[in-house]
Amino acid sequence: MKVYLIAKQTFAEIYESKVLLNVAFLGAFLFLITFVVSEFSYGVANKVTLDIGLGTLSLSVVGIALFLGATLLQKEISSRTLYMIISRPVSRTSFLLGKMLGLAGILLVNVLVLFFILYGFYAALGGEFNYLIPWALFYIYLESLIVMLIVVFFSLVSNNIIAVFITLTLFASGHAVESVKDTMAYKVNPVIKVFVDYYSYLLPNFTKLNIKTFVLYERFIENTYLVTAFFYGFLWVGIFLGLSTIVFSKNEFS
Amino acid sequence: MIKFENVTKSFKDDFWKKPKVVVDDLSFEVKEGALCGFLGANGAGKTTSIKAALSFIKIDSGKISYHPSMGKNFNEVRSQIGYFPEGPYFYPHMTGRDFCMYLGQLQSIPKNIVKERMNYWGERLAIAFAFDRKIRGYSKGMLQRLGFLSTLLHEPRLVILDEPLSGLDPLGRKEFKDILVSLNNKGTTIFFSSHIVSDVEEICDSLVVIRSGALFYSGKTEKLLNSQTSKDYRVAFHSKELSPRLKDIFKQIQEREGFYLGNIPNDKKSDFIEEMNNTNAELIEFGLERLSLEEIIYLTKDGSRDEVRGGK
Repeated sequence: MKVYLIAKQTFAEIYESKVLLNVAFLGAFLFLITFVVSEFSYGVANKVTLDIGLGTLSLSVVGIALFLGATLLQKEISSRTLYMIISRPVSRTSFLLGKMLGLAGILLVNVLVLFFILYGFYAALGGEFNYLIPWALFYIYLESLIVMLIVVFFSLVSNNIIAVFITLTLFASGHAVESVKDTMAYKVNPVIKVFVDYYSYLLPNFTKLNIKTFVLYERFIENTYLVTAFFYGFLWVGIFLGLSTIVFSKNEFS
Repeated sequence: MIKFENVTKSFKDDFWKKPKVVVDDLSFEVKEGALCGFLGANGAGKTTSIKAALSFIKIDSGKISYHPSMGKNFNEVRSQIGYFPEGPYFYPHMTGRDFCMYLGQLQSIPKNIVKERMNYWGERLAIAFAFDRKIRGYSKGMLQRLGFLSTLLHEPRLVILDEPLSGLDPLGRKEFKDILVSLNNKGTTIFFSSHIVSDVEEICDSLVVIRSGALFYSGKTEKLLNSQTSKDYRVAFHSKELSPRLKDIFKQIQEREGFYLGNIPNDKKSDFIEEMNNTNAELIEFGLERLSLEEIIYLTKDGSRDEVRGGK
């Protein structure tokens, strides 16, 4: 109940900050893109719209997770609002979960609204429903949750700027790690091979959550892959949530 | 109600620097039903001590305990504490009413009771008129009033306030002090920090005074004042001239346009009264020389700061 109250308050606070206005801007951007591609891409306008739309959606939601996640707790600590809450019978874990759920709610609204706009344009250009589209959308959301949890964790052990920097690095390298495996350096240099192999096991490999290519080219994807990626994503959610909870419960608020 | 036993807390400004002791072997107790002032200069360690008491920070050594009747675990203890930090920020998008409802719900108080208490305290703290305004439009004094109100919503047994009177105008300070006294009269234990000694002297029956993180005094306010009361009498009178006998009685005396002001030793009190009766002098003031709490804590007799009279 207390987690829900804190989540609701956090959601309202972020909502009031007008961050969801980005949806309007991105919606207008998608409209513009749809108009342009319908003029210039013969036959595949809907796919180009879907490709650009999913990419824009992903960047938007990851950007919100990154920048709002970095200040999610720091703002409460520096402005002493936190003291008003945790001096009451509210555990630090409940507070942390509430804050994260509030931001997760904003991310979800952002994803859904942008998706409905995108799907509207996609359908208008003759695009057909593909069962992988909701999966792609779900993975984009899951990816943004992981980004949020990473940045929250690093904001607790360092500061906002370092947290954003580390998270961006992990996000970029997490997307690039599979591509590195196709390079000659990986194939001929054993040190790079070991490093990249360990990296993909020990740090989030975001490529596993990226199925946009399968959606666009209507390639077959096994259900086991979808399920494995689902658990893989939630594993990282669990890891960073656990780490943040431990650090937050031991943090000193001086 | 709350007891500090040899509490020490240090902070590191920098990873490479030596830790700086902010609270140094601090021991004191706030008894149940006390209205206790927590005094010390800026940076003396008051806020750090309060944060340690509320488990916002961990102490290096020592122990902070609450009376067993406050609860079996810290979660139960917290539900009996009303805490208000210094200069807090509230969620600006909320109205005062929403903010109080939010905190009331976090305290698991039924909504109708929160409303009832909000109305009562809102009137007493003169903030009810702004309940439906967004907090971003509140002045500093209004924020202070709203924060104080939210502290009292769950009728805590122990109220801990960090500089509650800062940012208030004289009228607001008086209202707050009156409320603190009335709460205390109803049995609420109050522990509040301040660096404004006169406010504390006015209402507190007991004191904890710290200096550079260490205890300077803990106990009854009156006891500290009496311990520093001089044995000399301070007198002022008006007379056309000073008789030779009066000259002998005074330790020191100053004259200005027929008004005399001076100190006489305790054993010369009767002689002075007799001589006053024998002459046509008009007595204006006669009493034991008494230092104010501020003078005892912060000032030397000659007015220079930070040379504390007295001791532990």
